[in-house]
Amino acid sequence: VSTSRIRKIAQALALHAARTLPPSHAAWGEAMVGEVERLGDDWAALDWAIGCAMAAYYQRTGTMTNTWTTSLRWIGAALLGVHAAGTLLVANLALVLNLQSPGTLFAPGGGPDASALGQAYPAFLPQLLSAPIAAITLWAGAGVLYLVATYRLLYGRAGVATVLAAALALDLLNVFVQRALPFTSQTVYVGDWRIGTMIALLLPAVGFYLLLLQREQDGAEGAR
Amino acid sequence: MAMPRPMNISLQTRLLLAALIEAPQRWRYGYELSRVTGLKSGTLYPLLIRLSDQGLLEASWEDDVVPGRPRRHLYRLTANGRALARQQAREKSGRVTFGAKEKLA
Repeated sequence: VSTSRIRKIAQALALHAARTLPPSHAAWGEAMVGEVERLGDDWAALDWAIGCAMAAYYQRTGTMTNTWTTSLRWIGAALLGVHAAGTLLVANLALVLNLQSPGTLFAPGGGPDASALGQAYPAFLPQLLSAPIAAITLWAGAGVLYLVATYRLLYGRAGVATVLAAALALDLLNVFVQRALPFTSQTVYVGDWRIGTMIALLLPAVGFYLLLLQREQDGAEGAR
Repeated sequence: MAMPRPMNISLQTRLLLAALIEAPQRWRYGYELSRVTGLKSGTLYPLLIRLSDQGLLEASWEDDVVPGRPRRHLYRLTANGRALARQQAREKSGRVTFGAKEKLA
């Protein structure tokens, strides 16, 4: 990546930050743009501009109405709750299926051949049957953390973003663990890739919003 | 304007106040404050905006206008801000952590 391109990205980000700020803070947007322009090092300018964008988002959420933030909080909690339930269900199903096939639980990539299970099985069952104890543990751990994050979000407790980040880390680690397994069905692999992509894109977006909310709360506490 | 009573000022705010009170009459720009305090722009700007909204910080634009070069936004503490910074320095000096002291040094 050329330095001039880095500079252009930094300038675009700073302009975006300036436009994101509430109209009452327009001068601060001009200040951000000016500061980025004056920085000699392109990478330092990019780093500064990314921070400006974060600061602008933070200021923008601070001007949202209570109704708007409450609605978003409920939507976020509902999304998290559904994902927590799904993750725990998968963990439970994988554990039950594996317990019915003694000897495969602690064998990475073990389990019966998917082709022997017949075509009537849903595509994800072979994956669950070949899930090692590590994958099941990661599913269960992530599910519990998603539940904790949901609870904390609904009741306005601090630390939502931290718990969610830990859950996401477990979830994404599980995706990598499963991608490393010798799957017997390509369909399962493709499905897993899509689920992994969904988690990688959707949930960080929710997490980013929660982080902003948390910073808003921290900021309010710090100002007192 | 009555100075707000800050019961629980964050470490980042204290770092910023300490940096600004070092040379209270001098105008400082954002990147300079970032280097002195170690705060990234994502943390620094919300603090500056908040202090400004509370009347503790005044902002101005750079006088030296060079064609083709944007002006810098400059900051310094108001009288209330200086009083708060000095009060914080007295009250919190014994309570800041070792890491914060290193940063403040």
